[in-house]
Parts: sequence; structure tokens; C-alpha cells
Amino acid sequence: MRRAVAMLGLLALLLGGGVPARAGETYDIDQTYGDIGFKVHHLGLFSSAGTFRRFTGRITIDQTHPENTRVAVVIRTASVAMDWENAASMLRSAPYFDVARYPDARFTSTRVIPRGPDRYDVEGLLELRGVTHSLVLHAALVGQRPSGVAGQEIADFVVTGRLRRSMFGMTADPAFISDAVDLRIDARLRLYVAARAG
Amino acid sequence: MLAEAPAGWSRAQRRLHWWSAGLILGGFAIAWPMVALPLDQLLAKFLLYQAHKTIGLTVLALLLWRGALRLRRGRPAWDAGLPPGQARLAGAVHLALYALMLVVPVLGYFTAATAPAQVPTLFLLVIPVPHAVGADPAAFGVLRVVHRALAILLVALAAGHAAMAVHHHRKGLPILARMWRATP
Ligand code: HEM
Ligand code: HEM
Repeated sequence: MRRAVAMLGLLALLLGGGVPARAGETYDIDQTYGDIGFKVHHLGLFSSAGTFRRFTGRITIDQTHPENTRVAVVIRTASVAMDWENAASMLRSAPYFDVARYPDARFTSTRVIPRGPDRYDVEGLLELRGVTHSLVLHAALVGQRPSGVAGQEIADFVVTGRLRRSMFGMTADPAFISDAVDLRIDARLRLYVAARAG
Repeated sequence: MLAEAPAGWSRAQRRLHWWSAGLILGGFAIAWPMVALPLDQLLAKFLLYQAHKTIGLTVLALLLWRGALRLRRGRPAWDAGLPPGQARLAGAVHLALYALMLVVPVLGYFTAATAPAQVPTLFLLVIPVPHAVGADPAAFGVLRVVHRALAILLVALAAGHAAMAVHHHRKGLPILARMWRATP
């Protein structure tokens, strides 16, 4: 059952949903807690990180076949944020996210594969700058606890992955900015667990 | 005899003077393109910042060394041909130059540490210099302006100081000569 709950959360992970999820339904979830983060490396000496402030997700949960869980996330590229605003505006420019032409990036799952206790691989397609490539994300349930509200639980997920930005035509400044981009998504899901009583 | 002023500048004092002067002018010169470079030349920008910070920290280290020598050994007596008023002025300028050689790099260090772009300080590009404080945009906004203003003051004062040195040299006083080579 823990596994099924984790699977439910899986969806949420990408969405960082503050909205309770219930099996067998589709949810449109606005991001409230979650964080879609990315990190690039510079000359192997240090790295810089940023996040997307706005994204929305839709989850379809099939309680009897959790592996049929579907996750679709739309990221507003213009919401990219870094500690240094100049760097964020650089990322919005044409050589990077080109937000004027490509206001959205999308991740749509194609398959969810259990990889061990509380671990899942989420296979899917990432559309970025109008280019679509497959991407595998690794999801882990890192914490699960009662929310304080009867029948609700909070599940925290960490999702990681790595992509090559050049595959999406983002080839600017290869000398200083690594091609590999590490993704890290922190998400919190409120689950109804009434059905879990057994 | 020990209490007496030395006959001239020691070799270490002379070397430290010229190395410091060269490094300050070099660090000052690269500060402008370093800040002005656009973000599509990040690698060059990064390297210039590291060079600037390495140079500035070296100036600071040389200053401490110089300062210790100066306190222990003192300086030769003012040249007899220098009017006392000018000697007093020169003394004040030297003190100000010493103070600025301390304050400008220290402010530079805090400018780097508080910058919203959290780029590490890598001495000679390989030795990480820990930042004692973290990003602080408000402090950075003040520090960068003061660091720059005092750096300009340092270089302006040094230019006046150098002009006077050259002026006295042309008048035949052996002041520049004794900073340049050993006093016999
Ligand atoms: C003798 C030593 C130094 C001199 C003469 C000097 C001079 C300058 C000048 C003139 C600027 C302004 C450039 C501009 O605004 O276009 C500047 C900026 C800067 N300096 Fe220095 N500096 C010295 C030492 C240092 C040190 C030791 C550090 C750090 C460890 C440092 C870090 C910085 C940083 C980060 C900036 C950029 C601030 C910004 O982005 O606006 N400096 N420096
Ligand atoms: C950034 C550049 C420079 C700085 C920070 C600087 C700083 C100083 C300081 C602090 C002293 C006093 C030494 C002491 O009392 O212990 C001094 C002495 C001296 N400096 Fe400079 N200096 C610079 C550049 C120059 C240049 C370019 C020249 C010549 C063209 C020059 C010529 C001299 C001479 C001749 C003395 C010895 C004065 C005497 O014997 O009474 N300096 N300098």
C-alpha cells in the first residue's frame, strides 16, 4: 500500500501539488509548494542553480494500475529565476529559453516504472524550445507523515534527472556553461488516505 | 645606530613598492572591461574577475608584508632637497596610499562575497578563498560603489604621487633613484 501511495505521490511530485489527490481522477494542479530546480556546472570549478516559479500539472491516477499513472507538466519558461536577475534575463533571451518564441516547456510521462521501494523511473517526453526528446526522471519518496488533518497524509518527493541542453538547440556558451543540466524537483503532495485503512 | 633611520630603502622594500604599484595598476585596468563585458562572454568575464580578485588579494598580502617591514625598519630620512612642507604632504599621501591599499582590497573582497551572482573567489583560479559573508544585494549595492570610488582615489593619488616623484627626479633630487636602486 505504501507503494501505491508513493505512486500517487509520483504524480504530485512534478506538480508540487497542494491539492489532495484521489485515485481514479484527473487533477489540475497549480504549483504551491513545489520547486523545479536546475543546475549547470562551470569549468568543473563551481555551479549555478535556478528554478521555475510557475508551472502547472495534470495528473491522472489509476488506483488499480498505478503504473498507468500519467503526469503532464507545463512550465512557463519566462518564470525562470536565479539569485542574480541578470542571469535569469539572460536565460530568457533567444540563445537560451527564448521565452518570446517558446513560452512553455512540457513534460509528458509515457511510462512509470517501479525501481525499488519508494523509487520510480518516470519516462516521458520533454518539449523545450520546440524540440521534443525523451527524458527519464528518477523519483523517490523521501518522507511521508500525517498532515494533521484526519484522512490526509503529506508525502515529499525528490525527483532528479539530467538532460543535455544542446539536444534542445540550446548551444550558447559551451565553454563556460556545461551541456549537462541537472534537474531536481522537490514536491509535496497531500494524499487522501482513507482508502488505506486496510 | 639602530634607532637611526636607514640610509636607503631595502631591496625588499623597493621590490614590494614596484610590484604593488604594477599590480594595482593592472588590477585597476582590467576592472573596467571585466564589469562591462556582456554575459554572452561569460568565460572571459569569469577569467577577468578571477584575475582581478587574485591581483587584489596579492596586493593585500604584499601590503601586509610591506607594512611589517616598514614598522620594523622604518624609512630613510626625507631627501634634504625636499622643502619641509612638501615632505609633510608626501608623508600624508604615503599614509593615505597605505590605508587605501588596505581598504580597497578588503572592500573588494566583501563586494565579491555579497554579490548576488555567487561566483567563488579562486586565487590563481585554483585556490578557493572562502567568503565570510553571503549574498546581500543591498550591501553589494553600497560596497561596489565605495570599492570603485576608493579604487579611483587610490589610483588618482598614486598618479599625483608618481608625478611628484618624476618632477623631483627632473629637478635632480635622488628620490626616485633611491627607490629604484640600492643606496650606496
Ligand atoms: C588594489 C586592489 C583593487 C583595485 C584597484 C580594484 C579596483 C576595482 C575597480 C576600479 C572596480 C570597478 C569596475 C567597474 O565598476 O567598472 C572594481 C570592481 C570589483 N572589484 Fe576590485 N579592485 C581591487 C581589489 C579587489 C579585490 C581584492 C576583490 C575581491 C577579492 C575585488 C573584487 C571586485 C569585484 C567583485 C568588482 C565588481 C563589482 C561589480 O560587479 O560592480 N577587487 N575593482
Ligand atoms: C599604485 C601605485 C603606487 C603606490 C600605491 C605607491 C605607494 C607608495 C608609498 C606608500 C610610499 C611610501 C613608502 C613608505 O613610506 O614606506 C611610496 C614611496 C615612493 N614612491 Fe610610490 N607608489 C605608487 C607608484 C609610484 C610610482 C609610479 C612612482 C614613480 C614614478 C613612485 C615613486 C615613489 C618614490 C620615489 C617613493 C620614495 C619616496 C621617498 O623616498 O621619500 N611610486 N610609494
